[in-house]
Amino acid sequence: MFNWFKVLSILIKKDIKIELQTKETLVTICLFGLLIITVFSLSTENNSLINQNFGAGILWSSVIFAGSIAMVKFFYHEEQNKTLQSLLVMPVPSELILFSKSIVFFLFLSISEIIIFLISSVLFNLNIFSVKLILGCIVFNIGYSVVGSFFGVISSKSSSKEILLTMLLIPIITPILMFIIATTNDVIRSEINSNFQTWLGVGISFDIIFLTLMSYLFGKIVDE
Amino acid sequence: MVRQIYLISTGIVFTISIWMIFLWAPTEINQGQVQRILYLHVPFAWASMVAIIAIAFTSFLFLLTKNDRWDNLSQSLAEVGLVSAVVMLFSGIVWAKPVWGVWWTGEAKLTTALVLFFIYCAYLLFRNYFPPGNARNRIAAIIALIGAIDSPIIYYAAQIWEQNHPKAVVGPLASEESSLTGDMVITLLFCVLTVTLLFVGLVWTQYQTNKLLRSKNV
Repeated sequence: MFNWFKVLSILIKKDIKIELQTKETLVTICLFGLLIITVFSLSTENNSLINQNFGAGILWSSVIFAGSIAMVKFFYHEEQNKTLQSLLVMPVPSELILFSKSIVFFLFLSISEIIIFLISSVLFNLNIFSVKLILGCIVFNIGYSVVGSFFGVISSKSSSKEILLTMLLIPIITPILMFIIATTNDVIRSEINSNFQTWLGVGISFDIIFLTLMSYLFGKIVDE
Repeated sequence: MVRQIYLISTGIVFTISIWMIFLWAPTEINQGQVQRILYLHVPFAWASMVAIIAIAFTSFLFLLTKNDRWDNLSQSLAEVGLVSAVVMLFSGIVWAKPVWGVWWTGEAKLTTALVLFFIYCAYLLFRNYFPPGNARNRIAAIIALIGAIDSPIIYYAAQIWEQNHPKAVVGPLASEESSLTGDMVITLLFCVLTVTLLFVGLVWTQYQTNKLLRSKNV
């Protein structure tokens, strides 16, 4: 068990080191996400009008689309240099590779979200920083990173990586997407009587189900 | 020969359904003529929901037995399921405008139906984009299983979202304040039977077509 943690930490360090050298994933999520938000902010003269109704949608559409593009980049180097195959022949459970990828992507996604939210709160005059949203983001990021890493490996073999990953990922993560949009809406509208606990239950259940399912199925996928 | 007889019989049953929808079933008082869309919308919704369960089942059998017939059946089910989902969505949109005053609203059943449509698209896109071979078929089966497991979670999540879709009118989940009368219920059930027969016929035909294409390596 201890060795597995050691391997996991080595794999995580490896991905972080690569990212620190290239900075591709972080830059992609932040810039692409902010670009989408800027386009939305240009569409209206009075931004406070849209923040109540569309703020959550704008924020999360920018995060998920930027995230899916970054996810393709994240696996592109592995595929290009055939390093994923090298990782898979290591005498460790293949799930560790999924976990390491998910943890690293979770970190990058969380950092990017902080930057995107900070700038969005200025552009749209939003007051979104709350414990509720931080908790929601953690639950969302876990689900998004696990499912994204799983489909990232699958789509890395395809000729149309970007479209395939987006098409596979977004329908599957719909429940946690609904959860995080509902939570963000509550925070933006400062609604107290919301069913946050029910939504949190949905989000956590999704994470548990898909973490278990993806761990089990990842071995079968990489066998192919 | 058996398939031809089956398809002709389905055609006859379908003609009877059309007669029942437009001439036999009474006009609903509140919604008027537009309510007749329901007789196509509900059966196709049923077909698209059943298809995703059937795909999961056949995909599971494929993973278990590694027999290509199950994979072919999964693909055929997905193709016909996608068509059913399109008919369901289109008929729903056409019905919603005069009754609700909007073409689309972001509530539970609609969101689930739309996501279901995208799951079908993702499954078929994957089959199209991924290099052909045993790996593709096995990964496609896994994607189908994930889609099927995700569907009830999506439905539950969508339920917590806003709700103003009409309640189920027949079956175990039917609401008691349903405005459908006896003849309407009979017509609806007959249409469900017709679309089920049509669905099986289309899957059967598609299965034969895919079998032929696979044998020619197309």
